[in-house]
Amino acid sequence: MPPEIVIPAIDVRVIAPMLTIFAWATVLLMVDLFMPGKDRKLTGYLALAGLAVTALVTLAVQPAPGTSRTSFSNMVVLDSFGTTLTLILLLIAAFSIAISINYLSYHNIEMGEYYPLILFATGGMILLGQSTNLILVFLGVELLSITLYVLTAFFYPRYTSEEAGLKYLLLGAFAAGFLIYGIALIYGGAGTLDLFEIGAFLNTSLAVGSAFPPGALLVLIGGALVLIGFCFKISLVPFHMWTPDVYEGSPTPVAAFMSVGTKGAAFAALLRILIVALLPFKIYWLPVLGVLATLTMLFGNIAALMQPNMKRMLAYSSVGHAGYITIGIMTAGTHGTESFLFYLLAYALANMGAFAVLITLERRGEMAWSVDDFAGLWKRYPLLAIAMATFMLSLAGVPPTAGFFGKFFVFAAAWEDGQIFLVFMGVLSSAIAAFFYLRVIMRMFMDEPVREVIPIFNRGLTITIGIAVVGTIVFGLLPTPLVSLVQNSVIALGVGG
Amino acid sequence: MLQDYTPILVMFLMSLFVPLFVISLSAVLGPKRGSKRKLAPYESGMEPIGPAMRRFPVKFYVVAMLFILFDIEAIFFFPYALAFRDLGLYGLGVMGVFLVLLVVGFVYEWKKGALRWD
Amino acid sequence: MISAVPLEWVLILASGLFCVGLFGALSRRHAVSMLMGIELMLNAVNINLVAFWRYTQPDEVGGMIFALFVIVVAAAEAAVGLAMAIAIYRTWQTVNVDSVDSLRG
Repeated sequence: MPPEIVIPAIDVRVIAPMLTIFAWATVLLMVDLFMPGKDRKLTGYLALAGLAVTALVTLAVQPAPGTSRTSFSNMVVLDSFGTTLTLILLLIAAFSIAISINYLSYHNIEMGEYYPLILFATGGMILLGQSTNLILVFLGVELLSITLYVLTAFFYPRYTSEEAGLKYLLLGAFAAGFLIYGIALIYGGAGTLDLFEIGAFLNTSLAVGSAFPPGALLVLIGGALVLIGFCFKISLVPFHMWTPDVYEGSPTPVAAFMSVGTKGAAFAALLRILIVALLPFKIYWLPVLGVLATLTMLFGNIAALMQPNMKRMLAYSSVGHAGYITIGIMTAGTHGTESFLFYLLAYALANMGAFAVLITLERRGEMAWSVDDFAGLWKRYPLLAIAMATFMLSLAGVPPTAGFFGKFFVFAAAWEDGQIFLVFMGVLSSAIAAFFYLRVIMRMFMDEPVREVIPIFNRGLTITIGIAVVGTIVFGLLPTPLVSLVQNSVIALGVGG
Repeated sequence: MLQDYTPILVMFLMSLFVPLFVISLSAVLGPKRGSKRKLAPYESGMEPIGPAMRRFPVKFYVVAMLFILFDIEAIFFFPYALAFRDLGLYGLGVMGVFLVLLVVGFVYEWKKGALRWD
Repeated sequence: MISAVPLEWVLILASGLFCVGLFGALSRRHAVSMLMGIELMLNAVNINLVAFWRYTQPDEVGGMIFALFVIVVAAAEAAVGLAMAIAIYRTWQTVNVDSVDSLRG
């Protein structure tokens, strides 16, 4: 007897942001196809308009504070956490497109598909942040990964770009194998793919007796495999090997997009899985994440110390920042999600800005920037040097920048949770990190120019760098509005809570 | 339950056995008088030049790739085919949206010239 | 009715297939062969999903539908992978992943 088919109640508001961005991307793909001429800048501007429309839709459908909406048989949820994350992701995507528009034509890789691909990846990230069903988590991960494989290799026929794309694809697909094997085991153990129901299953089955039920054991093993899959995506040590190669080979705006967007979305999905479904297993995942975070912070920052190439240095620094965000995730069970969201926004502003500065210095046909290119920048382009210094200070976590408060909130939450050792390791690795961030600043302000570098400016780059600088400093001086925003961004722990 | 399928198994074994039997029969009973001419790959005609595993043009890959995509995406029609009576107009609308997306992909590859053979 | 084959056997088959795929993905140096190994891993997961669905949750369709999604995503990944293999071959004249190695710090 086949199961009776019940069409679930559908609340379009829940998926309205995703729906908007996917529809816009699809239409944009067609519009671009029939657009005459070789100039693709208009496609880029239309993509920016799409992001703006999506942001408006997101604001229009946002739930009242403290409430959430679920729909499609509880497969997607719209809570204030998801809304805030969506807005941050849209900002990141807008920055990436703004710095791409002239970059693509300058490097002769101007193809209209680029912008719809960014929109599709952003849609995948939004989906990842809102899904409460493991099918959708998997779909979101794959949607953003597959588009990013293509974007990484977009610099055809530059051979490093192709190499980066292949490496990313092979490792990403490999990680996806672990991810869904874990999901399959969770499904077998708990008998459901719904995060809320998995949590309820674990609560009842663990409460029965002292014995460890086999279903819960399967969920535990599956959870570990899912964690491995996510570790690849968010490049936690020891699953980070691909990160520097992929960042170095890919087009710089894509590297910027990847370093912040993928991390934010994947961390959000991991957060939801850990908090909503696997909270009864906190005694198991907390120490594992602690070890991973420690390794990641130390290794990422020490490796960044050795890099003469700026793009690789930023790649390793993004590995290190993944470690700090992991600490934010670990405390989310007790302290809410505010430290995670604040850190993500601060990191997004500083990192997008730093990559934008790299793009201004990028020459046609060159693919390596050494720190030497920044030497003496202050003497010739003082504004650019000040911007870069702001981003470096924010990444290092020096007041009065947003990055300082990001680190401060993460460490404060961990301290209150009693994770003294983690706070200690975090501060230690921040000290290591400060060394190489400050080295860039020293070279810019103290040294004489090593070789002639002429920056290229255009509207997109200037606006991005401007917004990033202003945001970094304003949120560093006046964090209160942002703090109240992220404090109200509560993750939905139950259906329709 | 499983016994119901026994005829199929018998049928399967029979259909495996008969051709094997016939082929081996001709191999055992048939006369074999090979000569140099007869053992050549082609009894009349050219000597073969080079290996048969030639490199073939990349456009075969492109077509194969596009075929895989459209072939696999049709998989979503199978559950719909099983349930389309119960889903009614709603299901028709949803599958319509899905089809539109497929058509968008098709138009894209058409305009990009991926389907042009030469 | 289906008790002729216990669930454990199916799971062992799936984990065996997963390990074969894992070994293939790790040991081969040809990009397309590695992709084939990864496809094997995904198919092992499909066996798992369908088996779990049939044996433990035959009243709902989650596992079966997930298997469909995995098939489609695997196809998309394979298509992008093959396209990238072609692009790599055009730029590098090889698809051996040991030779395709220029990025290092």
